[in-house]
Amino acid sequence: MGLRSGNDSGQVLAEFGIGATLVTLAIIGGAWIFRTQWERNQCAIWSFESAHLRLTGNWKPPTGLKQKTVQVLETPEGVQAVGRCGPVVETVGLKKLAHIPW
Amino acid sequence: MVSSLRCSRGVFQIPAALALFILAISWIGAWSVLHQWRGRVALQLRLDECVGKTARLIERDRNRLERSNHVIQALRASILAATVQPELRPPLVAALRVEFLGQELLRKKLLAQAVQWLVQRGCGSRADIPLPFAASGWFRLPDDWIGPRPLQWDPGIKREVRLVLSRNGRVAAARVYDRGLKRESNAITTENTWQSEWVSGHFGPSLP
Repeated sequence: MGLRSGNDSGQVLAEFGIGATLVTLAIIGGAWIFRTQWERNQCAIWSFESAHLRLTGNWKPPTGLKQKTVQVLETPEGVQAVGRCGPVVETVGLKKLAHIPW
Repeated sequence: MVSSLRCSRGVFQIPAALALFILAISWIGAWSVLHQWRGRVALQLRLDECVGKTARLIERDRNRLERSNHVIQALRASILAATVQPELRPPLVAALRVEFLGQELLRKKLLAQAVQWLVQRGCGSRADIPLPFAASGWFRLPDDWIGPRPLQWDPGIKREVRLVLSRNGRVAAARVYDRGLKRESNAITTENTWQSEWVSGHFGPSLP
């Protein structure tokens, strides 16, 4: 590891300390990225599903966690769902069929 | 790694490698779950696009058919009125014949759309499951002395087309329907009577 140690146990201790720190940081960083991505995806999908259900007239007021996170608004051209999941805000807009330029 | 086991140096390598391995497996697992969610959304959007495009096409053609019907009605009224000026009659009869032929082509196209919907399984994806829809409810009475008559709608058939396409529990559905605008019998209108909208076709499991 490039550290000079007087004996083997010192070397092991140094390796352990540095290695443990790096692994812990990697796990914490990975977990943070994973959690953020998970929430972002879940939020986006909840928002999409809520908007889609409202647009097709199959929408029911959400219950549980979704109730807190997704707000569905009707616009003249369609439906907009805003999902708030912790620090993540995901907005999904879907248009009514008559307003899509196909 | 073997030398690490024999001596005290690098003794942390095995648990560290294990931790990283578990981390990598967790990442792959989580990524595959997220990928699956995204795949389902992508599938829904694809089904929606197919149904939506087809519905808009049917809407456009049915509106064209309605407008053509109004033109035929107006031409017939003009031919009837032209009995006092017979020299006006031949061009009006010719115009009526052209309009009639165009309308017949459009009717054939509507029939082809209904067949194509089933044959192509929606928009060409083999695993998609389309529900059939009625081509049309129009019929035409035989020609009278004026010429071809306008199309009439069979009163026993609802003025609506439902398009449903599904795959893997995801469903896209739309309906093309007559808004029920009040029409003057001989007026040529540019207003669209047929309109399309998304409808519920959801009977599969919802996303988490």
